[in-house]
Amino acid sequence: MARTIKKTELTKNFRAAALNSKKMVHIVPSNDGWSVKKEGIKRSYAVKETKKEAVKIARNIKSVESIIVHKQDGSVLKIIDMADSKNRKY
Amino acid sequence: MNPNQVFINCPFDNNYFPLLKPLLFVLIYIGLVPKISETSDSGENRLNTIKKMMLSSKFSIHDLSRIKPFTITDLPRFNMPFECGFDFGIKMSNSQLYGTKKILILETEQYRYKKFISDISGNDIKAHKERPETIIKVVRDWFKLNIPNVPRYKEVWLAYNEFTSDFESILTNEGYNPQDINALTFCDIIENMSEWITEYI
Repeated sequence: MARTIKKTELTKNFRAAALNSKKMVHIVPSNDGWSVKKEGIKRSYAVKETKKEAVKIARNIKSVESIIVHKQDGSVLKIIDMADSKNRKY
Repeated sequence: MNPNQVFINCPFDNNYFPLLKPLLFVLIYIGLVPKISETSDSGENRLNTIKKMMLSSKFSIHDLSRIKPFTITDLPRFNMPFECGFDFGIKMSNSQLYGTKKILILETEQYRYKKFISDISGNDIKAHKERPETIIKVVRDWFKLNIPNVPRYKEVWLAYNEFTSDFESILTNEGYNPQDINALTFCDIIENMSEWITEYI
């Protein structure tokens, strides 16, 4: 059985997550291709035909710390940690 | 009737959860208040609770897509069509009080309903194709006809993806399974979505 967490604690976490200006970029699949979305910015940074092209664009965004690739249902497929130097390909 | 309130009638299981989350999200994002019977006081008779929610909500969304059982030995569930009929009954019972009620019916495919519930022909019926992005689009597009200042569906879809990564990370860190519809109550999900969206926007 999952342990009980105080309601206010959980709400605070969600609020903080929305406000947190993490240097993350999301790769979001869509009917018209793959969107590159900077965290907290409402519009796409770029839209590409393939996931590979979208990830390439994201890798080249300055100061990006993580690239989060999403599945068709919005859930997370994988996270690319840019702190790992092998993930930095310019 | 509350013009910002939306009654939701849909399956409550893990298979539907990937569609329920974006449905709740798009409603909250465009400034509406979702009402689901699971949010009610469990001591009350469920049908009475549903009736109260329907009476007080100007908008209703009924997802009738779960017409086929998952296995051959299962029976189809009739709760969703029953509640949909109940809602239409309220709307037609008193045109002065409830005539302005607006009902959206969701299905998997656009014209499949004609094979099993053709009486609803002529009403607002939209197909989500079991895709979260599409459910956001069709619901957003329908509300665009009824309320002002509705953002683009793409904006909502992008925000939903960002929310989902936070949702998964927060719940996982707390020892919950984010794919489990019972990990949090609907009240909690709606409240936390609202808080996130308020800060995001």
